[in-house]
Amino acid sequence: MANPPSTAGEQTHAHPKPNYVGVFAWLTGFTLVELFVSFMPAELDSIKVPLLVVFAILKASLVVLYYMHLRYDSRFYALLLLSGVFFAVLVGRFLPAVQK
Amino acid sequence: MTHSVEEHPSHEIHLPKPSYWPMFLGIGFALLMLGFLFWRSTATEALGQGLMIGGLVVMLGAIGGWVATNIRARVRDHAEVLGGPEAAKLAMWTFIGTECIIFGGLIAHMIYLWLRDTDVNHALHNLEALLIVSVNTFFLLTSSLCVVLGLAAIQRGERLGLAKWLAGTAVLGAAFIGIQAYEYSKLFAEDITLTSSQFGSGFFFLTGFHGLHVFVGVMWALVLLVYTLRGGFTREAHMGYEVFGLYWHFVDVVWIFIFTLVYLL
Repeated sequence: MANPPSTAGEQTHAHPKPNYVGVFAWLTGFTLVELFVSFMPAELDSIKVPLLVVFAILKASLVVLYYMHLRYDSRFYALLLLSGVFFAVLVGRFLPAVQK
Repeated sequence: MTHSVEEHPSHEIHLPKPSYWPMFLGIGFALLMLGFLFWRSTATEALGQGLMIGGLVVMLGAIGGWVATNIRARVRDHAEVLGGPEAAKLAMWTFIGTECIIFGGLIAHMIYLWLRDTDVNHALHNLEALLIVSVNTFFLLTSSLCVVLGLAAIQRGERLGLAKWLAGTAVLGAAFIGIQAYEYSKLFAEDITLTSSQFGSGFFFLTGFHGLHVFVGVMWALVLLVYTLRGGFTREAHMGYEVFGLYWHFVDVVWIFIFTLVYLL
């Protein structure tokens, strides 16, 4: 199980520095591809929608892993984030029942 | 330069004094929400508007007072963050976890509206609307790059570099809000408002709530800019900036999902 990070000691953690500009280039590239995909005809919705969702998850993962440094940081932070995402999915799943 | 407590056993840790400002912030927010409820009824619309404006003024005053007290305590009295710097980071990740739930519910609502009627967001599906939102997305992605480049700068000990990237972040965030306001005006012209339909209320609540987060981020960036220019961050001690960065990137992540699941579907 992940342990909470220590609250004592040094101010910052030393970890490898990601290529921030490279990550930005990927994010911009994925966004342009998303725009291209969004113009696909409605008949191709069965491909279009999953593609858009995959690109959104890829972009969000890049930001979380490299800009928010979750790849190098305490796993406890990842646990906090994933529990938030889990409950968000749960809320989304049961939303229609509440709306009825 | 900072020294560890172990190096200097006589070193005392000064925590900021207890503050009343969070209480005023809560009162202001309660007034704002109460005003919103009254404003929804035509009989009490004026009272609602008054309460909302009053609540907003109290909230802004409380935020200003709270920030000023904190900066004074940190710069003048060298007070430490309660629980140490890592506690601030832990608190921000906890906050982000809870925010996921709120934004998850709001985005899910928009997806269900789309599943019911795939043409519900037709007003967003023209070239001009997509161009506007794409420019805004580019601004927010670039602002995230500014934040991490600012972090890299202060890790090299370049305080002026950090100030430059912070100013860039604030400008791009402000531009995002300005463009969002322009987008809203275009939708209002097409009679799509907060109360016109389920799509309108869902869309404006979700994007408005996100815009509020961007606004808070811009204010935070400006406060940190002043703090930096007054010698607030060093190469060794810049956790406050890292915590701000986590917030800003999270706001960016939320926008990534809004852009795809609300505008492009």
